[in-house]
Amino acid sequence: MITRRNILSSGAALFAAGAGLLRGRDAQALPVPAQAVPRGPYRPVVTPNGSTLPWTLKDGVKEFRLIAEPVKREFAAGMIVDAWGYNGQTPGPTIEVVEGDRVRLFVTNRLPERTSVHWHGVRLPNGMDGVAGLNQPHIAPGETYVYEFTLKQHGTMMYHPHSDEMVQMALGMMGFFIVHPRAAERVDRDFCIMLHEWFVAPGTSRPNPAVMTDFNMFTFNSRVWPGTDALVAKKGDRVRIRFGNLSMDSHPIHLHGYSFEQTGTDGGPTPSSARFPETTVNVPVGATRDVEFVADAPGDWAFHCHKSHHTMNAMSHELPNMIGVAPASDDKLARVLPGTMSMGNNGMGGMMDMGRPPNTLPMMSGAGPFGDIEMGGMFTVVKVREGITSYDDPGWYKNPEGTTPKKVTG
Amino acid sequence: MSRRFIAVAAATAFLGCASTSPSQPFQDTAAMVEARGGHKIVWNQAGGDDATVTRSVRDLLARELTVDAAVQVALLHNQDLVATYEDLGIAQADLVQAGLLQNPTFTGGVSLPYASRGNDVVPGFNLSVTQDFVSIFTMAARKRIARTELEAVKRRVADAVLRAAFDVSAAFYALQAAEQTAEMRRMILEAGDAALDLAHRQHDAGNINDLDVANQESLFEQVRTDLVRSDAEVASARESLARLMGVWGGDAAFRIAPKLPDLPEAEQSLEHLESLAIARRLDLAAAHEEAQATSHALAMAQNFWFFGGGSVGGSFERSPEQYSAVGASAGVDLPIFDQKQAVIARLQAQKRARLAREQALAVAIRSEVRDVRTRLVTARAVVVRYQSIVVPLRRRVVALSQQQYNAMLLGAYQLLFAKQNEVSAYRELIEALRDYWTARAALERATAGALSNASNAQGPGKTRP
Repeated sequence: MITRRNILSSGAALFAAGAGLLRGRDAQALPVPAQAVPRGPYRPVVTPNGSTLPWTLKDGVKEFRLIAEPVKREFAAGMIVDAWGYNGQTPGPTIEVVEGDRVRLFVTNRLPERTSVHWHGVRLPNGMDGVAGLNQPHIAPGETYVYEFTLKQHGTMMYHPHSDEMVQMALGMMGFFIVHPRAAERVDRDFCIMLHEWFVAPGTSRPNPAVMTDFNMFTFNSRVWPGTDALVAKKGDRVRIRFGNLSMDSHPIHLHGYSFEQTGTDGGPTPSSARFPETTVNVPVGATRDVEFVADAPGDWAFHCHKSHHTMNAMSHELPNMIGVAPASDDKLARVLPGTMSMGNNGMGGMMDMGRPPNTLPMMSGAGPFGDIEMGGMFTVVKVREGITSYDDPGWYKNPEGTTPKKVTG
Repeated sequence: MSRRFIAVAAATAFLGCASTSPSQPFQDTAAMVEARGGHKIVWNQAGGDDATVTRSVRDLLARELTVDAAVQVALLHNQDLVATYEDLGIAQADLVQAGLLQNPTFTGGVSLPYASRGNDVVPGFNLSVTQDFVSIFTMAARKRIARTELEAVKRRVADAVLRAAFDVSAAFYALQAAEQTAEMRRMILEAGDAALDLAHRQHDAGNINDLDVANQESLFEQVRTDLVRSDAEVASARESLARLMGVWGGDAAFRIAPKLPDLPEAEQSLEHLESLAIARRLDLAAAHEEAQATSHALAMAQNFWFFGGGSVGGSFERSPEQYSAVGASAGVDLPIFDQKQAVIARLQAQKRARLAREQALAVAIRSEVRDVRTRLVTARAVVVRYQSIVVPLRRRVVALSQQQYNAMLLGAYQLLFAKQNEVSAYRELIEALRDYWTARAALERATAGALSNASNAQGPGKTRP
């Protein structure tokens, strides 16, 4: 049953017709409690560079379908990665429900190996927790399992495999499981960003799951700068940004121009008494963090992980240290290898693009209104504008006269 | 009867008065060499330096030497070869000797009476002439032996010329390869120098420590030592060639073409090389002639076993009693004890030995041809592999390394290392190319020029193992 309220409240319902094609297959639904009623309304989250999973309603139960499968993911123009994900994407589509909803989640395995789905942070019957071997059998390739439970909490949760999870998460299998509170909230913009890190050797396309620490790609929703969507808000909007981290490192995410408060974790809302203003939220491994602020300062505000190596693309971490090395008086290198010049003697910025292996991004790139931005990885821009009527990317901010630095001459 | 005998003797003596000059045998030798694709050879039989020869050698040495020119210089100038040419003079002299009659013996005697009873006694005297006649009958046989031996010597000398050409070619290619190898090592050293230079600059900037610099220095020194050895190899290879060309002093400052020739696009047919080699090899032909000469010697010993020595003579005598007499004498060795059985047995053994050696040589030549042919085919395959796969692959490694270097994904040391590996692959290609050309020269040598000149084969066409 699709109600008018669902259609209005959930962008997901726009896909109901398409999803309905799958409806014939949910023959073995679990018994539905008599009181199952879909909840709402809510402000849908925006998954930058991603999407929300559509659902269909059956006897008051929201039904979702996840297909675990190999996917191709463009990290940024010029680099496509052979990853694993859900429904053709990494991260998998965001599952968005309301506290009190009864959900039924069909998981089909189209991977070459078995899998399972763990609903990270969700309070549910033990048997639905998704740890293969412990709570359920592994889902073999070709098999479909169905999970069903009622949401008893709200907040930012995640889903990911719990069967060969080291490989499957390193290859990109992860997604958000967002539960809205039953009561409406005053949030105008609600973004969710999954943090991840990968090792994709230059010139290759397959992440190497054996790498434990020496990652070279750091992603917001499996995209790197300059491929990351801007986060657009209207002046005065209350903005929430939710982070999830299933990588191997914590990521201190920093927003310029504002202070924000952490309002929740995957453990639940942060009590008002425990909130304090800060500019960087450290997102630990295996956790989520929600931060909120009022977008009252227009401009293009950098937004990035503050571990500086995490804002670089495809960097080698074994280069000889060339900083401060005097250039050769007689360039022996160029004599042996014509066309080769010493590099990095004065730092790594402002480098000419002299080409690189295929499917490899420059270490740093991105053109801004004032020049090269020279960033990569976990970087994007929060764009706050006055008087906009759409949240499409508004382009570069026009700084008012007298609000930019001037070169001092004479 | 006696008139006919004199006619035969005179004719034999006339024929026996052949020239001792070896120029005809030398021309025959030169023709054999040329028929096998060899160079023209000249021989200044007056000995010492021929002005024309000296001039053309100087001309050749003044230019950048090709392998052909180097062979030409050696053939004109190598005194070992000139010494070998003299074998022709020796054999030709032997042939002339075989055609000469033994000289007659003139004997004179005086008798002085010392116990005379009469007054009319005067000193007497006698005169006699004896001439060995056996040499007249054996002359034809002896000449046959000497002629056959001369034929053998011609073939030996021609073979020595072809072998010298091979030795020079091999030495030439070895020198070219050594020079190119040294050049490659110099390039590797240059790359090492660039790496060391970088290490010093990094150290000056405080970016690497003493240990890192020491490591880089020891790598560099290793490469430099390789170059020292390589330069010594060049010097040694150069001397080998100089020796073979017989040059010294100012002439030893020759220059050679700097690069080994490329692989010829197509290989000549390598079929029937064994039988061609058997037909064309001159050491084999010489061995055959030598066996023939032994056969002739044996035949002579068998035909004249009863003929030890024999002479006829005439005498005039005036006795002290003052009467005169003329006389005639004849004498022959009686074959009672020495019936030449020992000489015959010796020659028989010698003949069997020579035939066996000839057979052995034929077997060895066939094996040599197969061996060198395999070396040639293998060397070509290795060269092709280096040219079409290994070197392009190393070049690609450098290009890809450079691409990564440009994107700051790879350090300069790794890039230089890739370059050193590329140059090393070139060096291995040079070695393979040298092996190819050496094998090719060896196959030409083994088949007596069949490779370049198969259509001109003028072998005796014997059937051998």
